[in-house]
Amino acid sequence: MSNTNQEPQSELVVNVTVNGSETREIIPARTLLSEYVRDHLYLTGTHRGCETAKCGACTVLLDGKAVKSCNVLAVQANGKNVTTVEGLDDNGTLSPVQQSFWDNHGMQCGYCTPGFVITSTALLNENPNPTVDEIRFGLAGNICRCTGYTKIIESVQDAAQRINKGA
Amino acid sequence: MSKTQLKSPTQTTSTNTVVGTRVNTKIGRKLVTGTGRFLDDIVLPGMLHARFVRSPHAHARILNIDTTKAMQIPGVELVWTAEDIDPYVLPFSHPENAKHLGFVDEEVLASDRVRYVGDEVAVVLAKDRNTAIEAADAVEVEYEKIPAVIDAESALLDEATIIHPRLSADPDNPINGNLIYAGKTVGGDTKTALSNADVIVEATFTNNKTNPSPLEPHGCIADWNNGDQKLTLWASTQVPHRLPELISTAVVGLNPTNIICKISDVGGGFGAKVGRYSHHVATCVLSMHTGKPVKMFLDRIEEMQAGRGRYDETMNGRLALSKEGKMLALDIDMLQNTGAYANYGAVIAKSSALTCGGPYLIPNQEIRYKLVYTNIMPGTAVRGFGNPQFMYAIEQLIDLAAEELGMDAFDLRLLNVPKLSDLPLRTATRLKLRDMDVYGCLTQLRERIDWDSNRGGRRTKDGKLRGVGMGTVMQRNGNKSAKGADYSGAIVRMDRFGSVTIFSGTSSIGTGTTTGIVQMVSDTLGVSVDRVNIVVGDTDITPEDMGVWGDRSSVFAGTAATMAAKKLREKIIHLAAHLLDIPESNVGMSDDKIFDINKPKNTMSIEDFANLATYGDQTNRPLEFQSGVSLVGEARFETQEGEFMDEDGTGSVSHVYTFSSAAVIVDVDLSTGEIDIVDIAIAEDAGTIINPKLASGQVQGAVIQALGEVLLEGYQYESDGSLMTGTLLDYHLPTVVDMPIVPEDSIIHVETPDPTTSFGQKGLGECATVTIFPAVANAVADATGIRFPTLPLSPSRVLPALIKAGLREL
Repeated sequence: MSNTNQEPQSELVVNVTVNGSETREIIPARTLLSEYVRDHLYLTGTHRGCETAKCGACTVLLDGKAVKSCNVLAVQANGKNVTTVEGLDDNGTLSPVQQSFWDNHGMQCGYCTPGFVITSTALLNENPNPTVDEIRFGLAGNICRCTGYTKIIESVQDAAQRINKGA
Repeated sequence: MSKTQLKSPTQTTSTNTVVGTRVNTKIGRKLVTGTGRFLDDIVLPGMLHARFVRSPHAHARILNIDTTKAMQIPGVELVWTAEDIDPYVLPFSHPENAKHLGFVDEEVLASDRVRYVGDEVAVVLAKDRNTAIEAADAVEVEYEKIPAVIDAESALLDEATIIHPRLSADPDNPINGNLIYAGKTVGGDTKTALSNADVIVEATFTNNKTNPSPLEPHGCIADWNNGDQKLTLWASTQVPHRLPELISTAVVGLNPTNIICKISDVGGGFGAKVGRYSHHVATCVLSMHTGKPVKMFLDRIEEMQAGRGRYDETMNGRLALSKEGKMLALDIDMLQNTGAYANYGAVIAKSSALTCGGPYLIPNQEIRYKLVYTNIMPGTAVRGFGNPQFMYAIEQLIDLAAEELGMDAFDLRLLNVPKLSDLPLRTATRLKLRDMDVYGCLTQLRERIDWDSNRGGRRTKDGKLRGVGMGTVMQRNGNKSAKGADYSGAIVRMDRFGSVTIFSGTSSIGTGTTTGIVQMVSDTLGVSVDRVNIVVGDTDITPEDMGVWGDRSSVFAGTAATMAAKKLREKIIHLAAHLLDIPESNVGMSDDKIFDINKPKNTMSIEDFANLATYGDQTNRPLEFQSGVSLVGEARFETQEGEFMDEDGTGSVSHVYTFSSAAVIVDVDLSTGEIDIVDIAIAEDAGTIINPKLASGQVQGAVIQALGEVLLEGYQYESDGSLMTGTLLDYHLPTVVDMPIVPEDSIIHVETPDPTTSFGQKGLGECATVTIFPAVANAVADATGIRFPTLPLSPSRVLPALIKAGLREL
């Protein structure tokens, strides 16, 4: 039964296309997008590092834009496309960004890695030839405690080259 | 001491094809695809979620706890206070405090008073995490505030409020007022040396309280099985084989052998995940009580309040020298702001005091330390384990001494370090130094940073002041004295398809050690890295191991795995010699093949070999293998080099020490007080580098972690003990825009193999975290002429000093 009035609802139905598949769930209205993908869809690559939009470990693509999914309600993604880290590879072939992070050791413990890989993917979609400063600016919302960032910057530079060669 | 070289029982002689190469991390594919399994990713059937109620006050009596409203929230299973949990638990502390100092000071839940903001007061158990959070907020606690004391000096004053009155009154332990413990490390006769010295420099330095902030918060899942009376604990821990023992000391009736610890992928540790915490104990008890799995996954605010971090310590030090520049005595009074509970305070003080003389041959050393209770977050092990604090002070004392003597600070250091040909030797604190090229590292460091052109301070063309500074460390690899033993076990197994699995008791927390271990085993067996897998941490299936901390895992777990692989190799060679019909001495193993080294065409693939050995015609095998071949090697590597500390606090506690040095060029902005890092060089002797890519990653990360601590980070408490830096933004964990690039060619590896480890490897992950502290401070002093006694060197501290010195320019 569709609810036509505007009274607040404690539970809602959302339809979100996640990694190309349509999902439909009844969820508490308070559900964060990070909770939706992790706790309802079991896509656990989206990590919770701070749950206050400061660390970027939970970054996903929402209609192609990088967003911190702990700072977005799942209902805000209703009718939209979400890409999580699990949606980046092509039937097991790693995306250029994923492969570059691996080859350049742009990770150590790996907890922040999905967020960096997603943010870098969005960055390179918007700017295929970023300078080092543009990479820094683009990744400023993601925190990595392990790598010290140098190998992450190198990973993004290498990914840009791979993408541009492939294009 | 004689200069005979130690003989290794383990070092391989075969050609290394994988060790020393830039192999990709074995866990990388999993991590970039988001398919790692971290603690919070694990969901067990019927699992409940626990959440602590934490104290908002730094020091208060608990008058009453009303759980009524919390219990009324649908989905809440129970709300427990100390009264409820106490029948099932015992107070705990670091085992060293319990065993040697005779006290335990932590409760799972505070029974009568809270001692810092974040102290655990009650625990809620609910059907999901959000309900648990909501219910924890609904628990009503009535407090009566007590005056709080947040710095160590104030805590020692007569009028200071006693933070642990019951323990303080007990005549059977060392606690006196808020003074937990006073100890010292003594080598030689400092008093006489000080009175005979030509020059004595003295200064006081204080570091900031920091949080290593692994990006994955602490967490665990306890799963009690009432049938077999076993508890499975999934934990984000650095010490899977230690944790059951630590937990069992705090849970009534739970034996360590009834706990199976399984580790998830661990999202960073940096020392903060070596301990046993209230959340471990509480989840175990709640699972035993309810018969259901119980998860507790802390959030970032809890991490900042109670996740624990580096101790802030004040060092009042004296360095005595002859007029020629020979270091004669090091004399330090250290005051540790230990926080609300003693935890790692004593072991860190003792360990770091022991090695703080660094590479310098100072014949007389006396370090006196005091540990003090205050109403701030307790500390714990953090990368460097007390060394950053000491080296921040001592390397600055050396620069002050050079100034006093009119000598170049680098020349002064070179005058006081051993050359490779001077080794082995014992230092004043009885450290055994062997096979480390201190002199070689330092001369290369000097050249790489172009010390002689940059030293002395000068103007940049854009008006900043530029200077160069340096620092060193002698980093312990493992520590027998702190833990009571130091060993690793390993099992290496080949299956009938020729695939190899290593079972290691270590933990994988991002250090790359597991990949390094795979490389060592790969070379030992002559098989490709893709053929080798490693299983870590599950205490049901991996041999015992002390865990990953103290730059020990490549040394211990790596050597154990190599030894186990060699035993497997011996079996393979014995059988292969028969199959190839050649003497054992002629059997070669490489490139996934087994062959006659004289007739390489007489060969078989590792798959064919494994199949023949396990499934093939038994009569083809030597007689003793016809009843079955177990393609398994196992070994345990236990340090024979490490010693226990004696009553003077001296002794060579570690298996081996890594020498590391760093130099930094800084520009100081005279209008803003900001410090730019212009260039960095690292020179260290970590022995054989197993994987240059992963090793450089460790060093780069260590440098930036240290720069964060030196330039940006730091806990700030109000005078009443309220935490002002409770979020990552307020605390200022460095982001990519805050930090310089550290290219791999900044790092010089001087590789003097250690003769006792399987490939000559030593530890390296912690070193650069230490050396950067003094290097930056010395560089800033070189640039500005100003010594900053207190960290961090943030603009809020630098700018007023520039103004005071008349250096401010707009």
